[in-house]
Amino acid sequence: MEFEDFVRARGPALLRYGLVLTGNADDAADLVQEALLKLSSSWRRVRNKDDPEGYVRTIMARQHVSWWRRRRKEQLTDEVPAPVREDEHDLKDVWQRLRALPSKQRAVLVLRYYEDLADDEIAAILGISQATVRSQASRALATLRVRAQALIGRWG
Amino acid sequence: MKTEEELAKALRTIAERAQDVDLLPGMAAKRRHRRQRRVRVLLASVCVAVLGWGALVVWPTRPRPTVGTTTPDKTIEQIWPQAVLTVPGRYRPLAAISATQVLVLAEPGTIEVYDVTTRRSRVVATLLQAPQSVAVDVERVAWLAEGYVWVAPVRGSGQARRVGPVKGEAVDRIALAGDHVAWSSPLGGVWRMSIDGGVPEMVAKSKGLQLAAWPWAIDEPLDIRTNPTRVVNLETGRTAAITAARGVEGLRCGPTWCLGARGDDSVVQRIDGSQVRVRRLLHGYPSAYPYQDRFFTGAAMVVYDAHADVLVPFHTANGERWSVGQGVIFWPQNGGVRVVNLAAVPPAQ
Repeated sequence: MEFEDFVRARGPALLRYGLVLTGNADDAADLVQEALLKLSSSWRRVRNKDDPEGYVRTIMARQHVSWWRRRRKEQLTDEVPAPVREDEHDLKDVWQRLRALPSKQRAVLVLRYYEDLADDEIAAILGISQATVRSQASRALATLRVRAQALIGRWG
Repeated sequence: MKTEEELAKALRTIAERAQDVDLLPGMAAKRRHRRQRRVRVLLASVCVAVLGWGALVVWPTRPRPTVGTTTPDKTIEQIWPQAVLTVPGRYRPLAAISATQVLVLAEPGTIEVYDVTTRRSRVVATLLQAPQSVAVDVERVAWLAEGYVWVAPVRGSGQARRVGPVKGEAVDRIALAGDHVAWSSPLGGVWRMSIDGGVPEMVAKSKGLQLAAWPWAIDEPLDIRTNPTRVVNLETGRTAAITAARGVEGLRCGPTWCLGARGDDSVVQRIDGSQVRVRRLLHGYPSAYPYQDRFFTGAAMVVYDAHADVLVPFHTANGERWSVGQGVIFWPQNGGVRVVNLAAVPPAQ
Protein backbone atom coordinates (compact mmCIF):
# COMPACT_ATOMS: atom_id res chain seq x y z
CA MET A 1 0.00 0.00 0.00
CA GLU A 2 1.22 3.47 -0.84
CA PHE A 3 1.40 6.08 1.91
CA GLU A 4 -1.29 8.29 0.34
CA ASP A 5 -3.66 5.34 0.10
CA PHE A 6 -3.10 4.58 3.76
CA VAL A 7 -3.90 8.21 4.68
CA ARG A 8 -7.11 8.19 2.63
CA ALA A 9 -8.21 4.82 4.01
CA ARG A 10 -7.43 5.36 7.66
CA GLY A 11 -7.62 9.15 7.94
CA PRO A 12 -11.24 9.28 9.16
CA ALA A 13 -10.58 6.74 11.94
CA LEU A 14 -7.46 8.62 12.99
CA LEU A 15 -9.43 11.87 13.07
CA ARG A 16 -12.01 10.28 15.34
CA TYR A 17 -9.25 9.14 17.67
CA GLY A 18 -7.62 12.56 17.45
CA LEU A 19 -10.85 14.31 18.33
CA VAL A 20 -11.36 12.42 21.58
CA LEU A 21 -7.67 12.78 22.43
CA THR A 22 -7.39 16.52 21.87
CA GLY A 23 -10.96 17.63 22.51
CA ASN A 24 -10.92 19.91 19.51
CA ALA A 25 -11.43 19.31 15.76
CA ASP A 26 -8.62 21.64 14.69
CA ASP A 27 -6.11 20.13 17.08
CA ALA A 28 -7.24 16.66 16.06
CA ALA A 29 -6.43 17.36 12.40
CA ASP A 30 -3.15 18.94 13.44
CA LEU A 31 -2.20 15.97 15.59
CA VAL A 32 -3.10 13.43 12.91
CA GLN A 33 -1.10 15.34 10.31
CA GLU A 34 1.95 15.63 12.55
CA ALA A 35 1.82 11.92 13.32
CA LEU A 36 1.38 11.05 9.65
CA LEU A 37 4.36 13.23 8.74
CA LYS A 38 6.43 11.17 11.13
CA LEU A 39 5.04 8.00 9.61
CA SER A 40 5.76 9.20 6.07
CA SER A 41 9.44 9.60 6.81
CA SER A 42 9.65 5.96 7.84
CA TRP A 43 6.88 4.58 5.66
CA ARG A 44 9.07 2.18 3.71
CA ARG A 45 10.19 0.54 6.92
CA VAL A 46 6.88 0.62 8.74
CA ARG A 47 4.54 -0.44 5.94
CA ASN A 48 6.08 -3.90 5.92
CA LYS A 49 5.25 -4.33 9.56
CA ASP A 50 1.87 -5.56 10.69
CA ASP A 51 0.42 -2.42 12.13
CA PRO A 52 1.31 1.01 10.71
CA GLU A 53 -1.93 2.36 12.18
CA GLY A 54 -0.91 1.26 15.67
CA TYR A 55 2.37 3.04 15.10
CA VAL A 56 0.53 6.28 14.20
CA ARG A 57 -1.82 5.97 17.15
CA THR A 58 1.09 5.55 19.53
CA ILE A 59 2.77 8.63 18.06
CA MET A 60 -0.47 10.55 18.43
CA ALA A 61 -0.94 9.62 22.09
CA ARG A 62 2.64 10.55 22.97
CA GLN A 63 2.65 13.71 20.89
CA HIS A 64 -0.61 14.82 22.44
CA VAL A 65 0.75 14.44 25.97
CA SER A 66 3.96 16.31 25.19
CA TRP A 67 2.22 19.07 23.24
CA TRP A 68 -0.50 19.96 25.56
CA ARG A 69 1.27 22.07 28.16
CA ARG A 70 2.88 24.16 25.48
CA ARG A 71 -0.34 24.70 23.58
CA ARG A 72 -2.85 25.08 26.36
CA LYS A 73 -3.00 28.87 26.16
CA GLU A 74 -4.12 28.68 22.56
CA GLN A 75 -6.72 26.06 23.35
CA LEU A 76 -8.21 28.11 26.10
CA THR A 77 -8.97 30.99 23.81
CA ASP A 78 -9.84 29.09 20.66
CA GLU A 79 -13.48 28.94 19.74
CA VAL A 80 -13.80 25.80 17.69
CA PRO A 81 -17.29 24.46 17.00
CA ALA A 82 -18.03 21.66 19.45
CA PRO A 83 -19.27 18.29 18.19
CA VAL A 84 -21.95 18.39 20.89
CA ARG A 85 -25.25 20.23 20.62
CA GLU A 86 -26.38 22.71 23.26
CA ASP A 87 -29.39 20.60 24.20
CA GLU A 88 -27.33 17.44 24.80
CA HIS A 89 -26.77 18.28 28.42
CA ASP A 90 -25.15 15.08 29.66
CA LEU A 91 -22.89 14.70 26.66
CA LYS A 92 -21.94 18.37 26.77
CA ASP A 93 -21.04 18.05 30.42
CA VAL A 94 -18.76 15.07 29.71
CA TRP A 95 -17.24 16.83 26.73
CA GLN A 96 -16.44 19.98 28.67
CA ARG A 97 -14.87 18.03 31.47
CA LEU A 98 -12.87 15.83 29.13
CA ARG A 99 -11.54 18.88 27.31
CA ALA A 100 -10.44 20.43 30.57
CA LEU A 101 -8.52 17.39 31.78
CA PRO A 102 -4.72 17.48 31.78
CA SER A 103 -3.40 15.80 28.64
CA LYS A 104 -1.98 12.71 30.28
CA GLN A 105 -5.17 12.02 32.18
CA ARG A 106 -7.27 12.42 29.06
CA ALA A 107 -4.92 10.20 27.05
CA VAL A 108 -5.20 7.48 29.69
CA LEU A 109 -9.02 7.66 29.64
CA VAL A 110 -9.15 7.61 25.84
CA LEU A 111 -6.79 4.65 25.64
CA ARG A 112 -8.71 2.79 28.32
CA TYR A 113 -12.31 3.56 27.39
CA TYR A 114 -12.15 4.40 23.68
CA GLU A 115 -9.29 2.22 22.51
CA ASP A 116 -10.27 -0.42 25.10
CA LEU A 117 -6.67 -1.12 26.08
CA ALA A 118 -5.44 -2.75 29.28
CA ASP A 119 -3.37 -0.74 31.74
CA ASP A 120 -0.12 -2.49 30.77
CA GLU A 121 -0.71 -1.62 27.11
CA ILE A 122 -1.49 2.00 28.01
CA ALA A 123 1.68 2.15 30.12
CA ALA A 124 3.75 0.88 27.18
CA ILE A 125 2.23 3.37 24.72
CA LEU A 126 2.68 6.40 26.97
CA GLY A 127 6.02 5.29 28.38
CA ILE A 128 4.82 5.46 31.99
CA SER A 129 4.38 2.92 34.77
CA GLN A 130 1.16 0.98 35.30
CA ALA A 131 0.89 2.63 38.71
CA THR A 132 0.92 6.01 36.99
CA VAL A 133 -1.74 4.82 34.54
CA ARG A 134 -3.94 3.84 37.46
CA SER A 135 -3.36 7.05 39.38
CA GLN A 136 -3.97 9.23 36.31
CA ALA A 137 -7.14 7.31 35.46
CA SER A 138 -8.36 7.55 39.01
CA ARG A 139 -7.81 11.29 39.16
CA ALA A 140 -9.42 11.81 35.78
CA LEU A 141 -12.46 9.74 36.73
CA ALA A 142 -12.78 11.71 39.94
CA THR A 143 -12.76 14.95 37.95
CA LEU A 144 -15.36 13.55 35.60
CA ARG A 145 -17.21 12.24 38.64
CA VAL A 146 -17.46 8.83 37.11
CA ARG A 147 -18.07 6.30 39.77
CA ALA A 148 -15.54 3.73 38.61
CA GLN A 149 -15.56 1.75 41.79
CA ALA A 150 -16.16 2.66 45.35
CA LEU A 151 -13.30 3.83 47.54
CA ILE A 152 -12.17 0.37 48.54
CA GLY A 153 -11.61 -0.76 45.01
CA ARG A 154 -9.47 2.16 43.90
CA TRP A 155 -6.55 1.45 46.18
CA GLY A 156 -3.65 -0.03 44.28
CA MET B 1 -22.86 10.43 34.29
CA LYS B 2 -22.13 7.66 36.69
CA THR B 3 -20.46 4.71 35.06
CA GLU B 4 -17.45 3.80 33.00
CA GLU B 5 -19.76 2.34 30.36
CA GLU B 6 -21.42 5.73 29.97
CA LEU B 7 -18.03 7.37 29.60
CA ALA B 8 -17.02 4.87 26.91
CA LYS B 9 -20.30 5.47 25.10
CA ALA B 10 -19.86 9.26 25.31
CA LEU B 11 -16.36 8.96 23.82
CA ARG B 12 -17.64 6.83 20.96
CA THR B 13 -20.51 9.23 20.30
CA ILE B 14 -18.19 12.22 20.22
CA ALA B 15 -15.63 10.42 18.04
CA GLU B 16 -18.29 9.58 15.46
CA ARG B 17 -18.89 13.29 14.98
CA ALA B 18 -15.35 13.98 13.81
CA GLN B 19 -15.50 15.67 10.44
CA ASP B 20 -13.59 14.26 7.54
CA VAL B 21 -10.67 16.42 6.56
CA ASP B 22 -8.46 15.92 3.54
CA LEU B 23 -5.25 15.39 5.45
CA LEU B 24 -2.76 15.35 2.58
CA PRO B 25 -2.85 19.09 1.66
CA GLY B 26 -2.35 20.02 5.32
CA MET B 27 0.63 17.71 5.54
CA ALA B 28 2.16 19.29 2.46
CA ALA B 29 1.73 22.73 4.04
CA LYS B 30 3.38 21.53 7.22
CA ARG B 31 6.33 20.20 5.23
CA ARG B 32 6.79 23.61 3.56
CA HIS B 33 6.52 25.39 6.91
CA ARG B 34 9.18 23.13 8.38
CA ARG B 35 11.60 23.81 5.55
CA GLN B 36 11.11 27.58 6.11
CA ARG B 37 11.61 27.16 9.85
CA ARG B 38 14.82 25.21 9.34
CA VAL B 39 16.10 28.10 7.26
CA ARG B 40 15.21 30.58 10.04
CA VAL B 41 16.92 28.46 12.69
CA LEU B 42 19.98 28.22 10.48
CA LEU B 43 19.97 32.02 10.09
CA ALA B 44 19.64 32.48 13.81
CA SER B 45 22.55 30.21 14.53
CA VAL B 46 24.62 32.16 12.03
CA CYS B 47 23.71 35.37 13.92
CA VAL B 48 24.75 33.75 17.18
CA ALA B 49 28.04 32.65 15.69
CA VAL B 50 28.78 36.05 14.23
CA LEU B 51 27.32 38.45 16.80
CA GLY B 52 27.24 36.36 19.93
CA TRP B 53 23.85 37.70 20.97
CA GLY B 54 22.13 37.90 17.61
CA ALA B 55 19.42 35.31 18.24
CA LEU B 56 18.05 37.26 21.16
CA VAL B 57 17.67 40.32 18.98
CA VAL B 58 16.01 38.49 16.12
CA TRP B 59 13.53 36.44 18.13
CA PRO B 60 12.97 37.86 21.58
CA THR B 61 10.98 35.60 23.88
CA ARG B 62 7.84 36.80 25.59
CA PRO B 63 8.53 38.19 29.08
CA ARG B 64 7.40 35.89 31.87
CA PRO B 65 5.58 37.07 35.00
CA THR B 66 7.51 37.31 38.19
CA VAL B 67 7.24 33.94 39.80
CA GLY B 68 7.70 33.14 43.45
CA THR B 69 9.94 30.22 44.27
CA THR B 70 9.26 29.75 47.94
CA THR B 71 10.05 26.07 47.78
CA PRO B 72 12.34 25.11 50.60
CA ASP B 73 15.12 22.63 49.98
CA LYS B 74 14.04 20.73 53.07
CA THR B 75 11.80 17.69 52.99
CA ILE B 76 8.28 17.57 54.39
CA GLU B 77 9.61 15.45 57.26
CA GLN B 78 11.93 18.29 58.23
CA ILE B 79 9.39 21.09 57.78
CA TRP B 80 6.35 19.43 59.37
CA PRO B 81 7.83 16.52 61.37
CA GLN B 82 4.73 16.20 63.54
CA ALA B 83 2.51 15.80 60.47
CA VAL B 84 4.22 12.81 58.84
CA LEU B 85 3.66 9.28 60.04
CA THR B 86 3.63 5.71 58.80
CA VAL B 87 0.64 3.44 59.35
CA PRO B 88 0.43 -0.30 58.63
CA GLY B 89 -0.09 -1.22 54.99
CA ARG B 90 -3.61 -2.55 55.52
CA TYR B 91 -4.92 0.96 56.14
CA ARG B 92 -6.06 3.50 53.63
CA PRO B 93 -6.31 6.97 55.19
CA LEU B 94 -9.64 8.69 54.59
CA ALA B 95 -9.49 11.94 56.54
CA ALA B 96 -7.62 13.89 59.17
CA ILE B 97 -9.54 14.12 62.45
CA SER B 98 -7.05 15.96 64.65
CA ALA B 99 -3.30 16.36 65.13
CA THR B 100 -3.15 12.87 66.61
CA GLN B 101 -6.00 11.00 64.93
CA VAL B 102 -6.55 9.86 61.37
CA LEU B 103 -9.64 8.14 60.03
CA VAL B 104 -8.69 5.06 58.04
CA LEU B 105 -10.35 2.37 55.99
CA ALA B 106 -9.10 -1.11 56.83
CA GLU B 107 -9.46 -4.31 54.89
CA PRO B 108 -11.76 -6.12 54.64
CA GLY B 109 -14.27 -3.41 55.51
CA THR B 110 -14.03 -1.37 58.67
CA ILE B 111 -13.67 2.33 59.35
CA GLU B 112 -11.19 2.88 62.15
CA VAL B 113 -9.59 5.74 64.05
CA TYR B 114 -5.80 5.49 64.08
CA ASP B 115 -4.14 7.14 67.04
CA VAL B 116 -0.75 8.56 66.13
CA THR B 117 0.60 8.59 69.68
CA THR B 118 -0.33 5.02 70.68
CA ARG B 119 0.01 3.66 67.13
CA ARG B 120 -3.18 1.72 67.62
CA SER B 121 -6.50 1.84 65.87
CA ARG B 122 -10.04 1.36 67.05
CA VAL B 123 -12.95 0.16 64.94
CA VAL B 124 -15.64 2.80 64.53
CA ALA B 125 -17.91 0.92 62.17
CA THR B 126 -18.07 -2.24 60.14
CA LEU B 127 -19.07 -1.49 56.58
CA LEU B 128 -21.79 -3.22 54.66
CA GLN B 129 -21.11 -1.25 51.49
CA ALA B 130 -18.11 0.65 50.23
CA PRO B 131 -18.13 4.32 51.27
CA GLN B 132 -18.20 6.85 48.46
CA SER B 133 -17.63 10.07 50.37
CA VAL B 134 -16.68 10.58 54.00
CA ALA B 135 -17.00 13.41 56.52
CA VAL B 136 -15.63 13.45 60.03
CA ASP B 137 -15.42 15.77 63.02
CA VAL B 138 -14.25 15.08 66.55
CA GLU B 139 -17.60 13.47 67.44
CA ARG B 140 -18.95 11.67 64.42
CA VAL B 141 -18.15 10.00 61.15
CA ALA B 142 -20.62 10.10 58.28
CA TRP B 143 -20.33 8.51 54.89
CA LEU B 144 -22.36 8.05 51.76
CA ALA B 145 -23.04 4.56 50.47
CA GLU B 146 -25.58 3.40 47.93
CA GLY B 147 -27.81 6.45 48.27
CA TYR B 148 -27.90 6.56 52.07
CA VAL B 149 -25.90 8.30 54.78
CA TRP B 150 -24.36 6.22 57.53
CA VAL B 151 -23.46 7.88 60.82
CA ALA B 152 -21.31 6.51 63.64
CA PRO B 153 -19.80 8.15 66.73
CA VAL B 154 -16.00 8.47 66.56
CA ARG B 155 -15.82 6.91 70.02
CA GLY B 156 -18.21 4.16 69.00
CA SER B 157 -17.54 0.50 68.62
CA GLY B 158 -18.73 -0.82 65.34
CA GLN B 159 -22.36 0.25 65.13
CA ALA B 160 -23.41 2.65 62.41
CA ARG B 161 -26.87 4.00 61.74
CA ARG B 162 -28.32 4.35 58.28
CA VAL B 163 -30.32 7.48 57.55
CA GLY B 164 -31.83 8.76 54.36
CA PRO B 165 -32.18 8.19 51.51
CA VAL B 166 -30.29 11.26 50.32
CA LYS B 167 -31.84 13.49 47.69
CA GLY B 168 -30.11 14.80 44.61
CA GLU B 169 -28.51 13.42 41.48
CA ALA B 170 -24.90 12.22 41.72
CA VAL B 171 -24.34 13.32 45.31
CA ASP B 172 -20.59 13.47 45.82
CA ARG B 173 -19.86 15.68 48.85
CA ILE B 174 -20.90 15.25 52.43
CA ALA B 175 -20.28 17.28 55.57
CA LEU B 176 -21.18 17.18 59.22
CA ALA B 177 -23.04 20.26 60.40
CA GLY B 178 -23.64 20.00 64.13
CA ASP B 179 -26.65 17.73 64.59
CA HIS B 180 -27.17 17.55 60.86
CA VAL B 181 -25.48 15.91 57.97
CA ALA B 182 -25.29 17.93 54.75
CA TRP B 183 -24.57 16.83 51.21
CA SER B 184 -24.44 18.30 47.74
CA SER B 185 -24.32 17.26 44.12
CA PRO B 186 -22.79 19.19 41.22
CA LEU B 187 -26.14 20.59 40.09
CA GLY B 188 -28.51 19.77 42.92
CA GLY B 189 -27.71 22.35 45.60
CA VAL B 190 -27.04 21.55 49.25
CA TRP B 191 -29.37 19.39 51.34
CA ARG B 192 -29.36 18.48 54.97
CA MET B 193 -31.03 16.09 57.35
CA SER B 194 -30.86 15.43 61.07
CA ILE B 195 -28.31 12.78 61.97
CA ASP B 196 -31.23 10.96 63.58
CA GLY B 197 -32.94 10.78 60.21
CA GLY B 198 -36.10 12.56 59.16
CA VAL B 199 -36.96 14.44 56.03
CA PRO B 200 -34.14 15.91 53.94
CA GLU B 201 -34.49 19.64 53.34
CA MET B 202 -32.76 21.85 50.85
CA VAL B 203 -30.57 24.40 52.62
CA ALA B 204 -31.86 27.94 52.04
CA LYS B 205 -30.05 29.90 49.34
CA SER B 206 -28.04 26.87 48.30
CA LYS B 207 -29.40 26.43 44.80
CA GLY B 208 -26.52 26.08 42.37
CA LEU B 209 -23.99 25.65 45.17
CA GLN B 210 -21.75 22.78 46.15
CA LEU B 211 -20.40 22.08 49.59
CA ALA B 212 -16.91 23.15 50.46
CA ALA B 213 -16.15 22.79 54.18
CA TRP B 214 -19.33 23.36 56.21
CA PRO B 215 -20.80 25.99 56.52
CA TRP B 216 -19.24 27.15 53.28
CA ALA B 217 -20.60 26.38 49.84
CA ILE B 218 -19.51 27.62 46.46
CA ASP B 219 -21.03 27.89 42.98
CA GLU B 220 -18.32 25.65 41.61
CA PRO B 221 -18.83 25.21 37.85
CA LEU B 222 -18.78 21.82 36.18
CA ASP B 223 -16.11 22.90 33.73
CA ILE B 224 -12.90 22.86 35.71
CA ARG B 225 -11.54 25.83 33.74
CA THR B 226 -14.43 28.10 34.63
CA ASN B 227 -14.32 30.32 37.70
CA PRO B 228 -16.92 30.29 40.47
CA THR B 229 -18.47 33.62 41.40
CA ARG B 230 -19.44 33.38 45.05
CA VAL B 231 -18.80 31.66 48.36
CA VAL B 232 -21.76 31.46 50.71
CA ASN B 233 -21.90 30.82 54.45
CA LEU B 234 -24.97 28.60 54.67
CA GLU B 235 -25.44 29.28 58.36
CA THR B 236 -25.48 33.06 58.16
CA GLY B 237 -26.40 33.53 54.51
CA ARG B 238 -23.43 35.86 54.06
CA THR B 239 -22.18 35.81 50.49
CA ALA B 240 -18.71 36.82 49.37
CA ALA B 241 -18.07 37.55 45.70
CA ILE B 242 -15.13 35.86 44.01
CA THR B 243 -13.04 38.02 41.72
CA ALA B 244 -10.54 36.19 39.58
CA ALA B 245 -7.18 37.89 39.11
CA ARG B 246 -6.54 38.82 35.49
CA GLY B 247 -6.29 35.79 33.22
CA VAL B 248 -6.79 33.25 35.99
CA GLU B 249 -9.09 30.32 35.24
CA GLY B 250 -10.43 27.30 37.06
CA LEU B 251 -10.38 28.88 40.51
CA ARG B 252 -11.32 26.64 43.40
CA CYS B 253 -11.80 28.47 46.66
CA GLY B 254 -12.36 28.27 50.36
CA PRO B 255 -13.83 31.24 52.20
CA THR B 256 -10.52 33.14 51.93
CA TRP B 257 -8.08 31.59 49.48
CA CYS B 258 -8.35 30.35 45.90
CA LEU B 259 -6.11 28.40 43.57
CA GLY B 260 -6.41 28.59 39.79
CA ALA B 261 -4.34 28.50 36.64
CA ARG B 262 -3.01 31.12 34.25
CA GLY B 263 -1.48 29.42 31.25
CA ASP B 264 1.06 27.01 32.59
CA ASP B 265 1.26 28.72 35.97
CA SER B 266 -0.68 27.95 39.11
CA VAL B 267 -1.95 31.08 40.79
CA VAL B 268 -2.97 31.53 44.40
CA GLN B 269 -5.11 34.55 45.30
CA ARG B 270 -7.55 35.79 47.89
CA ILE B 271 -11.19 35.55 46.83
CA ASP B 272 -11.31 39.30 46.16
CA GLY B 273 -8.51 38.95 43.59
CA SER B 274 -5.80 40.41 45.82
CA GLN B 275 -2.48 38.95 47.00
CA VAL B 276 -1.86 37.16 43.72
CA ARG B 277 0.98 34.67 43.94
CA VAL B 278 2.24 32.64 41.02
CA ARG B 279 3.34 29.25 42.30
CA ARG B 280 4.33 27.30 39.25
CA LEU B 281 5.31 24.13 41.06
CA LEU B 282 1.73 23.29 42.03
CA HIS B 283 0.95 22.34 38.40
CA GLY B 284 -2.44 21.98 36.87
CA TYR B 285 -5.89 22.80 38.06
CA PRO B 286 -6.90 22.30 41.67
CA SER B 287 -9.28 19.42 42.21
CA ALA B 288 -11.29 21.00 44.99
CA TYR B 289 -11.42 23.57 47.76
CA PRO B 290 -8.46 23.95 50.16
CA TYR B 291 -8.32 21.95 53.36
CA GLN B 292 -8.90 24.25 56.36
CA ASP B 293 -9.01 27.18 53.90
CA ARG B 294 -5.24 26.86 53.96
CA PHE B 295 -3.70 23.82 52.25
CA PHE B 296 -3.81 23.27 48.49
CA THR B 297 -2.64 20.24 46.57
CA GLY B 298 -2.18 20.16 42.81
CA ALA B 299 -0.99 17.64 40.26
CA ALA B 300 2.58 17.69 41.59
CA MET B 301 4.09 16.27 44.76
CA VAL B 302 3.80 19.46 46.73
CA VAL B 303 1.49 21.02 49.33
CA TYR B 304 0.95 24.76 49.36
CA ASP B 305 0.34 26.40 52.72
CA ALA B 306 -1.47 29.66 51.95
CA HIS B 307 -1.08 30.98 55.49
CA ALA B 308 2.71 30.63 55.50
CA ASP B 309 3.03 31.14 51.71
CA VAL B 310 5.25 28.12 51.42
CA LEU B 311 5.38 25.17 49.04
CA VAL B 312 6.28 21.98 50.82
CA PRO B 313 7.43 19.13 48.56
CA PHE B 314 6.92 15.50 49.42
CA HIS B 315 8.53 12.51 47.81
CA THR B 316 6.84 9.19 47.28
CA ALA B 317 8.75 5.97 47.23
CA ASN B 318 7.89 4.99 43.68
CA GLY B 319 7.28 8.00 41.53
CA GLU B 320 3.86 9.53 41.14
CA ARG B 321 1.61 7.17 42.99
CA TRP B 322 -0.06 9.01 45.84
CA SER B 323 -3.60 9.69 46.95
CA VAL B 324 -5.38 12.48 48.73
CA GLY B 325 -8.16 12.40 51.31
CA GLN B 326 -9.58 15.19 53.45
CA GLY B 327 -6.50 16.69 55.04
CA VAL B 328 -4.41 13.62 54.28
CA ILE B 329 -1.94 12.76 51.56
CA PHE B 330 -0.57 9.23 51.46
CA TRP B 331 1.40 6.68 49.51
CA PRO B 332 2.69 3.14 49.99
CA GLN B 333 6.19 2.95 51.43
CA ASN B 334 8.20 -0.07 52.58
CA GLY B 335 5.13 -2.20 53.13
CA GLY B 336 3.37 0.49 55.14
CA VAL B 337 1.54 3.67 54.20
CA ARG B 338 3.25 7.02 54.61
CA VAL B 339 0.74 9.68 55.65
CA VAL B 340 0.86 13.47 55.78
CA ASN B 341 -1.75 14.58 58.32
CA LEU B 342 -2.40 18.25 57.57
CA ALA B 343 -4.43 18.63 60.77
CA ALA B 344 -1.10 18.23 62.61
CA VAL B 345 0.59 21.15 60.87
CA PRO B 346 1.01 23.94 63.44
CA PRO B 347 -0.41 27.40 62.79
CA ALA B 348 1.76 29.53 60.48
CA GLN B 349 4.09 31.93 62.23
